[in-house]
Amino acid sequence: MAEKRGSTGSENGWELKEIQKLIDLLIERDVAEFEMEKGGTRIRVRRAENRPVAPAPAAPTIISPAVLPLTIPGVTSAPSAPAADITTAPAARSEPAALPSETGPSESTESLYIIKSPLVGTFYGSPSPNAEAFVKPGDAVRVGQVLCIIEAMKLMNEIESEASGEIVRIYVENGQPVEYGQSLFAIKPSLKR
Amino acid sequence: MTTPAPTDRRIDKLIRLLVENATVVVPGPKIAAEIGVTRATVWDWIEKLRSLGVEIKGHPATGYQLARLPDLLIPSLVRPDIGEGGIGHRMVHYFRADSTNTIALRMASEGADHGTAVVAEEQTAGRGRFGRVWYSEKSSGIYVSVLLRPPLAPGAAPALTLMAGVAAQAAVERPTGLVTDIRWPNDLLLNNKKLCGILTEMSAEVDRLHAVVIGIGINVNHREIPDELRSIATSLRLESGKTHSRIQILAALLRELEHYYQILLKQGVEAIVNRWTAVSTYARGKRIVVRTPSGEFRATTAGLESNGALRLRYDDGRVEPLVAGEITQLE
Repeated sequence: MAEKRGSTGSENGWELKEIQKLIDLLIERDVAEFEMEKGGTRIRVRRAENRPVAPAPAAPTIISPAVLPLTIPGVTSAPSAPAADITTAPAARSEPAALPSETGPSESTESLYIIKSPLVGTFYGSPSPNAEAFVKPGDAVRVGQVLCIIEAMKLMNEIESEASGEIVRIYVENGQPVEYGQSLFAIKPSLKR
Repeated sequence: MTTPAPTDRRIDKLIRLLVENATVVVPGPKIAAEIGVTRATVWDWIEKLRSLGVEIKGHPATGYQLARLPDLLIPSLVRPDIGEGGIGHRMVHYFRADSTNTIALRMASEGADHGTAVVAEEQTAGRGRFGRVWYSEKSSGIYVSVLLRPPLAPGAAPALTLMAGVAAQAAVERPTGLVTDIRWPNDLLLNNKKLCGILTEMSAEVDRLHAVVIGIGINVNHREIPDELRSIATSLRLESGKTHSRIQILAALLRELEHYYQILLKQGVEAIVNRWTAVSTYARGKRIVVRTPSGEFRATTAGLESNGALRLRYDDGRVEPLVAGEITQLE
């Protein structure tokens, strides 16, 4: 889908792949805003600052004199558009966290992996009241590492990380009630290239 | 036995051989040949079993005979009393384990079947809620974890804890005649003291349940309870003044777990909630203190929600379901 749009874009001087590469590069270099003109089409990429997740991923804003039919959804939802695969919305009930399979292993995606609660219960950040927290922001975690416990009716569910990377945000506090599908952690996956 | 390992199946065979020939002395060489070990090993195992309280008469020169049926929870003694294909169809026995839940969770991650039961005569690191220690005296209690792979969404899994509570209650009552109370969600009490604790652990993703391990500890023949637990814990022996067959209780437990598991799957959570409500004094009108991470509150119980949460009428007037938290009866 995105590829088709991309080919339309090429007539106007931009290839979708080029835009993706550009966004990747900007994230990698931590550039907040960038603007460029090519073949009569201007593109501006700005990374939002007040996103709820710490290292705000790029939000591509394409400003163009209508000649460029690229739409943001076309970019953001396409699995082949890694840099724009932005997972910032907390806990849409019906939408599970982005699965690793949705972002290919070859992609250096900056999308955040959101760990959500599989059940209604109470969130515990440590194995016992006086113990140290399983994880804190900034910690490196790997797949399968225990991040927290959700308890419901004395059923303890140790939530394991489904991604390797860095904990960039913990959405809930120790002892807090959580709903089904509520976001618990945001993980910045480690880059695999 | 420094590294906990499952019981050698040949020990299981050895005991079965002695049980089947309980009226005669079985020569050591015959045992060795039948179970496929050396006579020296037979001697070692006989000594080991004696150290665990199994009364065996005789010595290598004469042969061996059971003085009485041992109350060991080994598969060959428990299995005849449970149905085919249900929970406990596969039993893994340990003389000593760190924690049966830990073992069952590891087996679950390695692909073990639904219905696998892990049983230990003794736990060196028996666990309760939040890593609390479960006092697991050797060959006095029942320490069992069952692995389930229920066709339920993770959000429906908490009902399994109530299911385990009503199953354990029925399992204690059947062979002993002792009627226990159930404290929400699933502690069994006799005379307001705990004699059975259940810790359920789940492995799940947001939309997919991998496995549930229900760990059940029942204090059966403990003659004493450690000082620090004496005011809150008890055993069937301490309450009834006599010893009870752990084999019978474990077999009943596995059967009742299967029974109520089928009820949960076929009739739904409501059937379990109804059963629980009928057999617990904690369901309604009980004055309690609830301890949650945000503090302690007084409340009166007001029935179960349809999902099994405990409806509480707090003293400040709020009526809210309790999903997680510890409750104790107000004196």
